[in-house]
Amino acid sequence: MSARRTLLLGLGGLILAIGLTFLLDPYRNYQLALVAAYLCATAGLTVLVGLSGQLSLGHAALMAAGGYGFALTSQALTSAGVGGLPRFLAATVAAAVVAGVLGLLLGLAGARLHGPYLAGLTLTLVVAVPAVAASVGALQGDRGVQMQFEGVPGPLRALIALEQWQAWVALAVAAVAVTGLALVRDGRTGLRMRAVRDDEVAAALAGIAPARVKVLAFVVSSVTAGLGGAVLTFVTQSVSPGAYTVSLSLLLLVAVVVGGLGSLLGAALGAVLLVLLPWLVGTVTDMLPLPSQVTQRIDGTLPLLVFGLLLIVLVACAPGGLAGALTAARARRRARRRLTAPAPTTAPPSPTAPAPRESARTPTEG
Amino acid sequence: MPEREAPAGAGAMRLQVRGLTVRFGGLAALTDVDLDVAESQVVGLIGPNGAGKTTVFNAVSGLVRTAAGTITVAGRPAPRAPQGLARAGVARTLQGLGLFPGLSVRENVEVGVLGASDPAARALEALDDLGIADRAALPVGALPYPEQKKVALARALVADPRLLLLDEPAGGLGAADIAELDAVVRRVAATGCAVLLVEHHVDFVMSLCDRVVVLDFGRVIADGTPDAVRRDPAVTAAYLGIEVTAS
Ligand SMILES: Nc1ncnc2c1ncn2[C@@H]1O[C@H](COP(=O)(O)OP(=O)(O)OP(=O)(O)O)[C@@H](O)[C@H]1O
Ligand SMILES: [Mg+2]
Repeated sequence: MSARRTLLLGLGGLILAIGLTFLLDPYRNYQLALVAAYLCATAGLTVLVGLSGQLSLGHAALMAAGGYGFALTSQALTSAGVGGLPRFLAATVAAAVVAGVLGLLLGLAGARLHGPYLAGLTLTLVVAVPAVAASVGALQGDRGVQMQFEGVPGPLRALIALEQWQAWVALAVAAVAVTGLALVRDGRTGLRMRAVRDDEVAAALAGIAPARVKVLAFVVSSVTAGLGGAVLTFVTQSVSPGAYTVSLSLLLLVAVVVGGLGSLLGAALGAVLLVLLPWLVGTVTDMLPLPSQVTQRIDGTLPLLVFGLLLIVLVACAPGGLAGALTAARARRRARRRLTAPAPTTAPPSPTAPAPRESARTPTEG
Repeated sequence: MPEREAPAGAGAMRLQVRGLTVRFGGLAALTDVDLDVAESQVVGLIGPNGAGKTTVFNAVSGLVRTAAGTITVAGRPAPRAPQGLARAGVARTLQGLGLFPGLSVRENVEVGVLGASDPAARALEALDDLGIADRAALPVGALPYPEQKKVALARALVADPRLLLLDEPAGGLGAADIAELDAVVRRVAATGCAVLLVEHHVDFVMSLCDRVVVLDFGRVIADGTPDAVRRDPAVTAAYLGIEVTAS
């Protein structure tokens, strides 16, 4: 895909998504904002795992780093009298930088480690970050950092609800993150990543520095995860250690695999599932005649279970994930259309046994 | 480094290996190996399995540490790390295929020239030179083996190297494909590129190469014209006697 097409697609997608917010009620818009926040992280993760072949169980920690970076910068700027868009932009950049630096360190360590060791290192990080955050005074422990209320900016206040405004902001950041990742994926850097993923020695012999490419992939992925943390903090107006646990890391990874490794569309589908699945499960269990205590317990674990089952089914039936299954279905439909296209004089070919002669002739006829 | 022992009539030296010794733990994979390849020259490096042929390539590519000796590429010390190789004008194919299975045919070749201004166009050109430009968009795994070998060759050739290291380029190919490969190597050498090729296919090596170097247990046991090497009793004993009847 050319860079211009990617940019246009990113912009078009953003406009469509913003249009969508007018059709949704405030709660759905809040959910949409959450999807956008998770999308930043899943998109970065799918590039890291799918393109560069490195596994990270630490993306929740990178999101947390972004969230704290955002919150603390935002607070500092507020007390310095800065507000509005400059404050938001500066805090977002700070989130990206904090997460990016953490990702750089992880990537540097990861370039020397392989497979299970890298996974172990990232797992350590995701366990350590909330624990550290909870014990550092400046981060205000388990309670986390509360942001002060930031409403809809003046001119829009009469027109849209807070949730819709938050969704806009979240979608805009996600659009920037995903478009950036798409540009990386389609450019030389993406090709280098995939080459290193497939064969490090062959890549090195072709002039690629595998370690540098892998570290870069980690940084890029971490920056977008940090943006996700910033958006999540902006939307929920707080950041606390409890929101960024190991299970979020695992869920992000499952979402990416379910969506389709290496696919940005898959990352979006995964992010939607991340937000919708707990809600769907909650809705279903509410309808069942169960004591509230049981319902509560089920609500906590059932989404994980459903996600896990979905993962198993997809890995068994559609290794390309949801995005891969969609692409395959589209290809099948196109192939079927090509088969049914021939002129009415020829007998319609049976779809189960297409005559090779006919399918070979179609291109000249169509 | 002074260019001693340069073969008479040869042009500028592209690869000069002196006293190369490589050890893997207690195993002496290479001992005191000398090797020269001049521009436009095609040199064959042959020897029985495990003789150390690929290890020579690995040492030149910076993939294994040398215990002793010097390796000079176009008058300069060989790069320490493999990623410096391409910049030094060296391209290498790997034994087997060494392709990127997740990349398309064109992307596989593009990787060889990512530093240049239009890698995609260069890749298509290189594929066209080998007659497989129409395969560019396919996943590389969808190609039959001989065409995959061509993709690997195209990736080595795409950057217009001045020293080309080919590790068993004819491995697994039939007579027609080998004839085609022969023509490609001659064409490349005619442009001034120095070619060092490891090969088990003796007839191919003997007809194509200007010089043949024979390795056995990590030592050079013969170095000369194909005819001289073919007649060398040490070579017959170590290698050719078995292989010629086998191939
Ligand atoms: N990385 C390594 N670590 C340990 N031993 C090695 C390594 N690479 C090669 N060897 C050993 O060094 C010797 C030479 O191997 P090399 O691959 O160079 O042989 P070759 O001549 O290319 O053989 P073939 O014709 O089978 O490809 C062999 O005994 C091999 O087992
Ligand atoms: Mg070998």
